Amino acid sequence: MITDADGLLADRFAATRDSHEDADWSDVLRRRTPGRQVDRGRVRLVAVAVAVIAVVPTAIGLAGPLHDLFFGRPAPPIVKQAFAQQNRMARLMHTWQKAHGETVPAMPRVETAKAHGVLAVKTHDGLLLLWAAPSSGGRECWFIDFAADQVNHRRPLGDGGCDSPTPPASKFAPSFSWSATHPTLKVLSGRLYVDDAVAVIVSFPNHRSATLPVVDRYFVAAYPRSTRVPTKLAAINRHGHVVATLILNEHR
Amino acid sequence: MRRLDSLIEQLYRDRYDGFRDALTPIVRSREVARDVVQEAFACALRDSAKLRRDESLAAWVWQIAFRLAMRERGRRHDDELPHDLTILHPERDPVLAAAVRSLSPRRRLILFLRYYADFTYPEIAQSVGVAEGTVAATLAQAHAALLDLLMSKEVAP
Repeated sequence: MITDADGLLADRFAATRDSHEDADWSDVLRRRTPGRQVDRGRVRLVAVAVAVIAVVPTAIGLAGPLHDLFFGRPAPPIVKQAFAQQNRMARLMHTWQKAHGETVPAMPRVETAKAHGVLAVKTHDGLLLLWAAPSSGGRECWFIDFAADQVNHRRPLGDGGCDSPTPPASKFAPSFSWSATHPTLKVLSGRLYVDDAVAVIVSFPNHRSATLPVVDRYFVAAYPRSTRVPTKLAAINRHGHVVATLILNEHR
Repeated sequence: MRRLDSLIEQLYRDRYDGFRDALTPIVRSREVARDVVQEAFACALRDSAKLRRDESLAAWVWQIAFRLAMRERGRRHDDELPHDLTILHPERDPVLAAAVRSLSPRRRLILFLRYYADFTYPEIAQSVGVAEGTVAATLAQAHAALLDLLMSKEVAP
């Protein structure tokens, strides 16, 4: 029986590593000086003025919210299973981390029986669903999957997260990713830590924007995979006032 | 600033191997990964004034290194991750390699940051720009998926 998931994986990953000792701090110091010769000429650090070709996310607006029909619907067993697995693994990891003296924020325990639907949006791959469940410490966890993946799969396919112990300063906890099971889409989702937001305005690098509804402080949408990371997220209240802003892809 | 330089040097001395090993799957070569790490730390020394007070040094250097690594792959740092991220020396543990390949590239990267770079949860969160809770949940879900696959392949008669 496996009782030490983190330790087991740490051991297996460690066995694939090399033990090459090729660190060289003096080389770093040499490279620090501008105008130095690059050893192999491979790394191009010089800032280049790039002509940016705007990529139009053609399916912006594709996602139509169906949340009125979906909100509050009890989660199906496979979604509850996802939360239950998370509880189980979080407990094992926490035990191992504690035993190894590592300080990590404890994951909240999800009340799987209370998992419910929050948002459903249409995509080219069918309905994309966002589920949430209350968790210990007044926090919440969420899970996002496609309706089609709930059929004929033994284990849940999806992605999710949990509230951190303290809300982020930006009041946004966004994610923008794709999965091997839906390789043509990128899913933008997130959690907001302001009470009165009704929508999120998403700005893209090509100066296009999209407005997503906020339901119970969550938002979700799907875009073509070629879509670049948004540059800005702005939450607005019902009066149209911006109540939270997050600048993404910040070039420093 | 001198103190920050010495912290960067200490980070390098303590965690060079981890940075290199976590970057190798992205650039597909240990040599190139080494080059990227060297350049990233050199960049960090040059631009140390840009480090925000509340920012993790390791995560900040990782972000520099990641940008360089993505450039090596001919991509922008905000492009999607390459599909071919795989563990180091997959031939040594084909079952683990197959299990990792079944995960999304983002989950794979988080695993590499955890198990190759030995990053803490807050460091991973800052490195990939997600909340700590998301890192914990992602790792828990990745663990569940990996163990499920590993056990089904290794326990089967």
